[in-house]
Amino acid sequence: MIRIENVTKKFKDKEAVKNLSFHIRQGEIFALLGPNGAGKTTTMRMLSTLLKATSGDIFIHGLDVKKDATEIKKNIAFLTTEIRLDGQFTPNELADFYGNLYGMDKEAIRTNKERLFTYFDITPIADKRYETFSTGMKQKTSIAICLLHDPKIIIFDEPTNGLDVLTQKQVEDFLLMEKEKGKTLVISTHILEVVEALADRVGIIIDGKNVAEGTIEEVIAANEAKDLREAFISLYERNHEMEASIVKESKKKKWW
Amino acid sequence: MKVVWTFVKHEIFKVIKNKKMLFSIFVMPILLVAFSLGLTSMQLEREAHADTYRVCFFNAQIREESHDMSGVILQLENGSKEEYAAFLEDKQVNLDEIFVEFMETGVNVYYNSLDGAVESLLPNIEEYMIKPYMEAAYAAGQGAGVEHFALEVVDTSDEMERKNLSLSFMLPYLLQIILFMNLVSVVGDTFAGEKERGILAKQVLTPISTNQLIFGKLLGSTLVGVSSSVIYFVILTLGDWISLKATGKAAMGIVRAALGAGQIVVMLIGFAFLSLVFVAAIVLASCFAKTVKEATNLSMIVYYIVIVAAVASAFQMGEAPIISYAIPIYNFSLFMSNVLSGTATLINGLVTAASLFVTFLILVAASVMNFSGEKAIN
Repeated sequence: MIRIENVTKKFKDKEAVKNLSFHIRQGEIFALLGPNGAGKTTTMRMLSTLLKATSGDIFIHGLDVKKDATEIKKNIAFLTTEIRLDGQFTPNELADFYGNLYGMDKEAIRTNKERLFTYFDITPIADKRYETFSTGMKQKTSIAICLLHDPKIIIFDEPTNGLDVLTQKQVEDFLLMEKEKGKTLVISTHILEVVEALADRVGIIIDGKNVAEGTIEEVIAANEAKDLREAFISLYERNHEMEASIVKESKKKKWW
Repeated sequence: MKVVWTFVKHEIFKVIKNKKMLFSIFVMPILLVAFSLGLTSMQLEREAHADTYRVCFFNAQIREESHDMSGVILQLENGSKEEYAAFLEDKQVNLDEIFVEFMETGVNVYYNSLDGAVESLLPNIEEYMIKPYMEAAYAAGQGAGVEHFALEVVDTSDEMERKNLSLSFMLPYLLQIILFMNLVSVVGDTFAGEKERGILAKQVLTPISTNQLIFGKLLGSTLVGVSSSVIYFVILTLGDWISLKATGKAAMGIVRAALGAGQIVVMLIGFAFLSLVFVAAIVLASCFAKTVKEATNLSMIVYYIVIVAAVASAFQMGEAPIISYAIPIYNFSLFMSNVLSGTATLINGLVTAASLFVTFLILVAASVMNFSGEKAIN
């Protein structure tokens, strides 16, 4: 479904992602886990076609993100807190605008808007400016607009970040509903409870490298840990230390 | 095409919905322009009046219909002492007769300040004509009363023409700056501003091509920026009429007096072409900027070019070679000066338009080549 093969992403002299490989199956919720600065967001951006990999390949539905970006964009949704909607517009206006950009006809926009706005309680405020909404309502409106074109793959970077418990539950339930419909979800988070509640499988990235992949149980067992938290910390300590020592060594070499 | 139209509508609605932007790109500059032009107009009135007495003697172009031509008319060319002597001989001018005959009434020496200042002409006349005459008169013992001889300076140029000349130096520059500042504000926000706020990335994620995205946003913001400039222009041209109706005085007579309908239409077409270049330059700058501030700073390069071009065109004496009209931005200043002074030609206009359009295409191509998803996020 989604194949990430030996992907490396460099920003000037910094390698954000190093030779990363994952295989994400159709209809599953795959969680990317990692500490801050591990390369999760960069990976998500490459999946969403926003960034191009320096080397390696990413295939979505057999399509190469480098060559078939336009076709892939029709079937994916990417939501992150860094990507926002224009605050001066109302949810109705935003839905019409983005619906047109996705090439949807008026009827499709109306139907999908109605379904999503109803689920996320946006309908009563659909004619009010987005900038006047609370954080939770903004997030829900972003999700609704993001999913307006009914994508097959949903990529969410920190989907429940900054949300209250009730809104968090509403978003999580929605993601599970989408999974039930056979959609593939890739989420990135550092909140382990969210991962345990939603994910079928996880991939752990530390310092831009893939250090573990599998079901939560498999990752726990492989690291002889009690739970996912312990497994994560163990993986982090082993791999981050290795990375630090390599850097230290290379600095020594440079010095001499 | 539908996508491009979607962006155009979106850009227009964006401005309409934003009261601050509405004020800054439509209302505030109108007030500033009205105020500054009012002051400039008053200043020009004073200078025009002062011309009659201040400007040096000049040659040629005497308007018989508007001046009393009684007496002797001296149409003089600027030149050396020998050339003056030759001139007087050629024209069979007998200064003795002239000065004696007009001892009582004085001699009017006419000049036209629009034909170019010839500061040396007055000293030449005094040195080569008046002084020898007076010396000869004293030597012949006829000097009594000669010192009372009156030499009156009269500017034969038309006051409206003088205003038009001043306007032709000032207005293209002023309008270019207004247009540029409007477009920096609108286009800078459309690209760099939306990038800064995380909105551009959302649009890049939709399945539209880079060409559609850039053209759509470019066209939308161009329409907003240019319509803002057109409103200024209309305000300027109507300003005098409004002022006349309201106060009985033509506070901004400078524009109305100088521009005909044809000139206004040609100027508007010229501005449409120039705005394309400005927009494309700002879009290109925005491709390399992360914030509106950065985009504005980079766009200032164009601002400096506008200033240099306007100054260079103001110093252009005589008819500029056709190749000058192929230099983008400079050609606009040059052509607009021509339009305002009534010396524009079709070929100059076509070369100017073609040059600006080619520049626009090059800048857009550079923007498309430099724009990518990575450039849409900070």
